[in-house]
Amino acid sequence: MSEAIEKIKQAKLEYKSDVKPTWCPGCGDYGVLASFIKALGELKIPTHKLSIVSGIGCSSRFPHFVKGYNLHTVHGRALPVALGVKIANPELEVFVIGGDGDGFAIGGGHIPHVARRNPDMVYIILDNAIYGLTKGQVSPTSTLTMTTTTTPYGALEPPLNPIMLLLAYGASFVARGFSSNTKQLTQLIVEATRHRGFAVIQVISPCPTFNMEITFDFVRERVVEIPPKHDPTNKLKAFELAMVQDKIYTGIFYREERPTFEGNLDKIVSKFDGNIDELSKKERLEKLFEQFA
Amino acid sequence: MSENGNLKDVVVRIGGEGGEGVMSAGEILTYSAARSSYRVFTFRTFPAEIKGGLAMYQFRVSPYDIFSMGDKLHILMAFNQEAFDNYSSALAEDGVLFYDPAECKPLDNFTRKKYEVPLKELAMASGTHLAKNMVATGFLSAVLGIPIEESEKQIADKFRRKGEKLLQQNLNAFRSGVEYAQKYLDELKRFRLGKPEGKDKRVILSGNQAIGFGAIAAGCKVAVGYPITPASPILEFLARHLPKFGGKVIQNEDEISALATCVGASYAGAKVLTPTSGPGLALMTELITYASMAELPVVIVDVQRAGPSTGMPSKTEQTDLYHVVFGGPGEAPRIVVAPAHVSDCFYQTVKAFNLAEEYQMPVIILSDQVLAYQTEAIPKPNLESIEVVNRLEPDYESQNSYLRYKITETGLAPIAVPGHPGFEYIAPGLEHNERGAPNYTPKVHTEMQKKRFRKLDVLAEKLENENDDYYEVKGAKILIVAWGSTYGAVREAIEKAEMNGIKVSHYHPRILNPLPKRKIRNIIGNYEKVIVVEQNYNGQFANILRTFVDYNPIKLNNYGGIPFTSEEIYNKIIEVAK
Repeated sequence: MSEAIEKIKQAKLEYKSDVKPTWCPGCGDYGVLASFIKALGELKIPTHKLSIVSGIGCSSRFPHFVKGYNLHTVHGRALPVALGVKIANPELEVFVIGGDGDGFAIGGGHIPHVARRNPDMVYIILDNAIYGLTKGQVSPTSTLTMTTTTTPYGALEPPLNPIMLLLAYGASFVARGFSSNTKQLTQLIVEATRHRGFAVIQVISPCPTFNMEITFDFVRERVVEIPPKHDPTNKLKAFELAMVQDKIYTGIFYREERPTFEGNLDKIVSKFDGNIDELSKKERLEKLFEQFA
Repeated sequence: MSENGNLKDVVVRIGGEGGEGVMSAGEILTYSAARSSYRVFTFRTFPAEIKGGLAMYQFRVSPYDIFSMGDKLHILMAFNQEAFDNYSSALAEDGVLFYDPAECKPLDNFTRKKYEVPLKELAMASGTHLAKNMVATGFLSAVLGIPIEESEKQIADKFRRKGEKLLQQNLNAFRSGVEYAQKYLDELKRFRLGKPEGKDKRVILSGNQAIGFGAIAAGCKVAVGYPITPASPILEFLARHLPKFGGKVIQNEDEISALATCVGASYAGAKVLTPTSGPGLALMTELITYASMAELPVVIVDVQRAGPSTGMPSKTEQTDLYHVVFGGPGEAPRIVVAPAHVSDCFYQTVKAFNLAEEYQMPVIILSDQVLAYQTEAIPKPNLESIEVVNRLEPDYESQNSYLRYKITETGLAPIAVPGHPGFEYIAPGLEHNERGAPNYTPKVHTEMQKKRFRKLDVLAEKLENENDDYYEVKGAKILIVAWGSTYGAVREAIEKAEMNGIKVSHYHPRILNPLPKRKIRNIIGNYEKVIVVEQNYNGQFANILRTFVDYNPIKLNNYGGIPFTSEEIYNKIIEVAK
């Protein structure tokens, strides 16, 4: 036991930056941060090979709290920024971390395109079903009829189903975790990182300040691990589990092996033997000019 | 006209039904001329704009340097009636019409000289009616004096793959066109071009292609875009060619993500470019300020088109200047570069990459629809003459703690490239301290704003001493200030004015932000009248001058969607000179 604690201490020392989290006391995001740091320790990713990219929101402050070559970008655009990091340097372990508003509302247009491309990166969505940073507005995963500052008479839109969307968009690894179950979440992050391709984990991470419906107790009462007999290569079964409403399944819904986007891009470059020295590039450019003469 | 009555340059338009080979006739003629060191400008309209499938190819060719497409036609080659009906009014007073009598009957009230060229008949005699365009090519080669052997080489290259029979038929058609021209040559000798000046190797490029070449030469490694007229050909060019140079090209889901992916790739160490037009630029604006805040080099090409909103996508305008200089949340420094002609598109693109790397901020290249599609025979860019700048990286051996956003005298601090232990840093959109950690104190924000803007001051100071964009004429009392693609029309208007005894100087800055204010005040101070020529309603650059150098110039604006003619500018010079 003491060995495990020692490991966690080491990981904290190695990965935690000296910027202190700005989250409210009791925020689910602390559990995700702890799990993330434990997972990094287990994966032994050196900080100079680590790149965490985020957009805007409470959870998007994440990259400030972990050492790495990180980017804290603009609202909703973390995924395409991370795609750029990955294609320019495929050696980096790229993580995108953000919330439900950042991912499914303003940034919703990017998920399908990154999912179908399948870059080798991990996207962790900290879902609290509310806008926390702006103090309590309705989000795309807020429940129907939920009262918020912008839905004082109750939300009119049913929540979207993130797992179904991700499966439909073609994410090659789809999982769900709960911020309070750090043991399971750490393992999910480890598995997602080891998966070669676009791995997404929806983490239910309750907001004790602004969301009075999806509370820790609400989640605890409903959360169930996906039965071990589930075959995660069976997409139809994954959809079935995702459709269950009265329980919140956690674990790996789906995984498949597919070529990665950066690998496919590299293949085009290799086809032309594009990684040549500067002198050869000059000669090649002269030849290209000839085609226009 | 030159001394012996020959034209100094000839403007030719070929018109016919789409599919009759109008484009390939034009291309063979212009490529043959360019290979023989003639100067060539071409112009083609988008087929979508012309009803009934009428296709048109126009070129201006000269043994001497030319700067624009020219104003009126000297030669119209009409394959059919529609070409005559639509284009004959564009002929100059002394222009001539060549037409196929089988397909076209000039109207009785047509007063210019006209000559029958039996395209169809001669093509049939060569073995195929499809070779009409080759008859026209041969005929025009002979009239213009473009070397026959060059054109034959082009035809051979074009048809070899399609089989020996077709090649012979087309060559025969071409030769019958040359032969047929002999009977008119004496009468048409004023169209015969003189021997070209110089022997530079030339390449034929559009502005869009020249930007693509510039990006490759500058070492661009990632290009991401979203299709938009008139910028798509840059993305298409790079998609085809950049991988040969180790580069990666993606068409993203929108312009926001296009710039986002570029920003990420730049952070990871790559030189990046995204091509777009006004509506796409509008979507990118938030991320432009992020790149400025996080101090990441990115190059954005804005091929301007006529707005507002969707406006007239295939027409031209210079209306995004305010947007690129001032647009975005907050005040974010950026550099704006405006190429003046096709060759300049190459060199200014290399410069844009260099500036982005050196000053660690977004650089926006302002091109426009005319420059994008205009093809020009330019001297082959000299790769030995260009300097390629790479970002300043820290000394990775150093043990000192790394401050990415260190406040320095120049505002510049080294950028660490991911992968180096001990130099991890965060690229923040939030106001931040020297390490990049969030900080909202008045002192930090004030100091950081100054730091970021200081980089522009350093560049402006350098520009104070550069004079290659100022074309001074001793004794001139009038100055024309212009930017971007109006260059050619301005040069020719100034030449015309000079022939009529009016001296005019020309200032054509390539960098529109920041501006070298002392230099501009000094230049302007030398003239009685200053005219700012630009293609927009407000006079955007004129107003920027008014703001930054406190001078109120005379404005000459055109905002109909088509480029200035040298005539319009010349007329303004005459009016102002009075």
